[in-house]
Amino acid sequence: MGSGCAVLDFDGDGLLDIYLLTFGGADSKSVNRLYRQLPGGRFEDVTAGSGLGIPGLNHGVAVGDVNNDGRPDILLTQYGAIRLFLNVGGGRFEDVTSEAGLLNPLWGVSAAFVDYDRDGLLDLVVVNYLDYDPKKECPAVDGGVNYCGPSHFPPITSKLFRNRGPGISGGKPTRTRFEDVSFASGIGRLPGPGLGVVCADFNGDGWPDIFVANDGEPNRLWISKHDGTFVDEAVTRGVAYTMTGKSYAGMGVAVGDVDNDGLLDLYVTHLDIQTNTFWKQGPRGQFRDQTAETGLLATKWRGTGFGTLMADFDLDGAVDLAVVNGRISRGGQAHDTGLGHWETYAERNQLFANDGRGRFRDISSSNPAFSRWNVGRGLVCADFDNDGAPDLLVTTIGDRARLFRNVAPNRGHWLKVRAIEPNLNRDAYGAEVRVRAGGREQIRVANPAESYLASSSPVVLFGLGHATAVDSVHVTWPDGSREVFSGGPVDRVVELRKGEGRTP
Amino acid sequence: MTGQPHGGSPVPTPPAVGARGTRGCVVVLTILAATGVGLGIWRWLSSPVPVDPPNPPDIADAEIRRAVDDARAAVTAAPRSADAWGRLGMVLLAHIYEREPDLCFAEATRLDPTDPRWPYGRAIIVLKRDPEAAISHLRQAAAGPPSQLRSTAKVQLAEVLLDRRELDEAEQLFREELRRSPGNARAVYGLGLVALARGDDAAAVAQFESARQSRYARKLAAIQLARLASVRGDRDSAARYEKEAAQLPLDPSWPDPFVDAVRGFRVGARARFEEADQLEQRERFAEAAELFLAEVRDRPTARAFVGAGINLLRVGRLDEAIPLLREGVGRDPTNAQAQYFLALALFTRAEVEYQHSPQSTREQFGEVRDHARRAAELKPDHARAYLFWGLSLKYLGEPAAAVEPLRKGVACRPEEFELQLALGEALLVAGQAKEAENHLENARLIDPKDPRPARAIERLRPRKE
Repeated sequence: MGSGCAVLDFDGDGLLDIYLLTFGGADSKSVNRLYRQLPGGRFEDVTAGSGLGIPGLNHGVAVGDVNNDGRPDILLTQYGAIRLFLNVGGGRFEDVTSEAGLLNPLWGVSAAFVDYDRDGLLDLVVVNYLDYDPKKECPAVDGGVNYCGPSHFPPITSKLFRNRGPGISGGKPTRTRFEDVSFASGIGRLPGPGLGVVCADFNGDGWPDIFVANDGEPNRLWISKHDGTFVDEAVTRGVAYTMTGKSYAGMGVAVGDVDNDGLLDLYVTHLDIQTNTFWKQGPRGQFRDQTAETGLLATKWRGTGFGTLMADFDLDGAVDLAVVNGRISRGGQAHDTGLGHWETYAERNQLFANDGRGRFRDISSSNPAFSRWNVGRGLVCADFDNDGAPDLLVTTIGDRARLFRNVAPNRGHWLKVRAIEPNLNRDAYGAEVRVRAGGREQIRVANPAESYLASSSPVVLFGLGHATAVDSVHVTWPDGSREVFSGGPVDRVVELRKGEGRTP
Repeated sequence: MTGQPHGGSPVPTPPAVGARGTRGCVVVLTILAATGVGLGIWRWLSSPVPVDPPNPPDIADAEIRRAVDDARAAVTAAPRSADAWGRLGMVLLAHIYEREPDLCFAEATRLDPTDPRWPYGRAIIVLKRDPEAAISHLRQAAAGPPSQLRSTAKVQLAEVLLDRRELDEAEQLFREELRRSPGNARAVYGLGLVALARGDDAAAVAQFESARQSRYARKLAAIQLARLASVRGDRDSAARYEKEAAQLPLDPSWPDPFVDAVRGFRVGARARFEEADQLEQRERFAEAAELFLAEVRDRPTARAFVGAGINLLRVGRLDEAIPLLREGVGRDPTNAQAQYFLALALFTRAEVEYQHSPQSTREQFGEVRDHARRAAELKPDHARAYLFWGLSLKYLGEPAAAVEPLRKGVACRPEEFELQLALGEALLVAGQAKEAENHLENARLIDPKDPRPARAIERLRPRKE
């Protein structure tokens, strides 16, 4: 399963910091680690005293400002629990799980913050995996006893927690309070062995929907009905199954518009014996498995994919694709990676370059640093060194995390957009940002929850290629309102504040 | 035959082929035949035969050990028998080995390249790990005169090629199979997928409609039809197909004579447990109980006691189930399922007795509480353990204390009717009317036909007023 990681600027100094998760168990000396970025691109371990040095069976992490105080808070998923840590400033976090009324005694994996009811408070989706029974034994390939695969355990439901803001609980004031609306919303009525999650408006109605990648069962696409309820429309919208009607082992999820047609596409990682699947959106709200048509079947090698994301690594105006791989069982070839027990789990990561028309070419071999042998799990993307190019952070099993600086030559121009809701004092999670430049329009969604067990940056990054000026930036805010902001020079960061643009 | 003059000129007459010539031919043919047989014998004698057929170590189960030894002995007795090698491969494959049966099937294929079973065996082993590597084995298995296994190999080959988007050959194979076996639903469904991959939605719809008539493809075809209806904007049909698909159980696996044959070689405790699993899935609990009881007699493990107890409980044989479950818990107190099912069995009996003599059941409900709580401690996401923990507290006269475990149960399984109802009722007794109503409404939504939530809500109404 593995553990993920998060990128956040917890101290508001403009430099991106890192939170890395561990899976050592409750009594382990190994704890999650918080690293603060220092000027000059170095990182300092500031775990001690932060409140985030948590041992345990940690899987996933979501980042969002749940109390609108301008400081990003942290939600951890664990095997058997979730934990919410409020950022109280000064580099300190407080565990407010109980105070917030959050209860999820299940196998939590990926999670996302999303304002599903548009009330200005970030709600929480937690994807749960299986009703695991450690006593269950399954036959091994070698005739002995082995761990059982996911098909041997019943799936469980994911959770939706509605943020009710500060309040009173048991006669005491609470800084934040969540209500479990899983059943009422519909999300808690259909079980599924979920692993990955992304939130975006997939049908163009201005309300956030939720896509959950399931392991060996049909994926779910929870479409918002605008009244606090969701209906799973994955089957009719074409993302429940692959083209051949198979439910592959869905793990990580990448979302992006690969051919700049204004519609968000989905890419889900699977086992090496399957194929990762690319679902192209079009017409709006309808998806079709176009893995072969986009060239993503013709990869240099296949791995068991976990973390995945779309980002424009060469800033040419078309999103590329990154995947980290690592087997789920022993038996691969040893490659002298020094990983010991994990040696035969190791696989190579992959990068795919977009030709600008939505066709991909495997360029992994020319990126030896990234396409290293590892047991890859978490993957996030952010511009750590503020040079305008997206960098990558990878977490692995049995080895250290690695930060990959983008050194692509001949990169294009760029624009980074931070969409802010000033009245809420935080990033506008769920905002759709469209940038027009150089005769084309590109779309990004400001929500850091993507990939697998991980949280990237809510700042959206556009590659502009040869364009030397931005014509305009259009924002659809999470409440459905739209604004246009004037363009301007390239190669800079802009903060767009809701209410400061003009109505289109 | 004699020489005929051509024109008027004399031509040399060839020697007549008489008795002497015939004898010569026979001799030549005999020599040739003898050479062929000799070559065959030489090749047979000189062909490489593994010194030892594979013999996996550490087979703990005596029945499996015996089955493998018997099959190995047959190979040793007839080392050039493809059947003997293939049979050993099947015995090993039946017990989840992979490398060893692959070696056996490879040898069987070498000895008898015309038998489709052996390359097919290799194909199904490698299909799990590397579908593309299965292609050559499937091609070999599919070649030759028609047979059921060759058909299976052919459509599997077509499916692997389809996954690689080698659509022309995939289509050709599906069509070949349809010519041999008109109406073959697997081939029809495959042709639907080929059409889908080509973007020919109308053709795909026709094929999926046809495949939908087969019990092997009913659900899958309905799913495809739902999506295709949605794409063409036919919302009613999409909803109809989607509803149909949601209501259908999973399609059974496509028939596979080789896999069925392999399954027949399964022996040992694991085979019995697997058979019991199958019986449980088909709700044939009495037969499953008998299998576990046989296991209790032969190999009295905690798993056997618990399995027997669970299935006897399911068929209402409580008096037999309870001691078996107690024994299972005694042998493995850390088994959450054993603790839970013992709680359930005790609860079932106590609830019946409660109708006649409430006081006498107090101790039993106390035991239910203890075992259910232990199950929840061992497995904190055990929703139904929380349910019986909560329900036992209700019978013990502590309804307010039931709220907490029931809340946890609902947190684990909000989609479970009994949990929503029990929590709603516990909250009702505890005076938390608003929250009670929410959970009772949830219960009503889950099972609108069950009258209990409505009755409980009725009890709420006067209180609210």
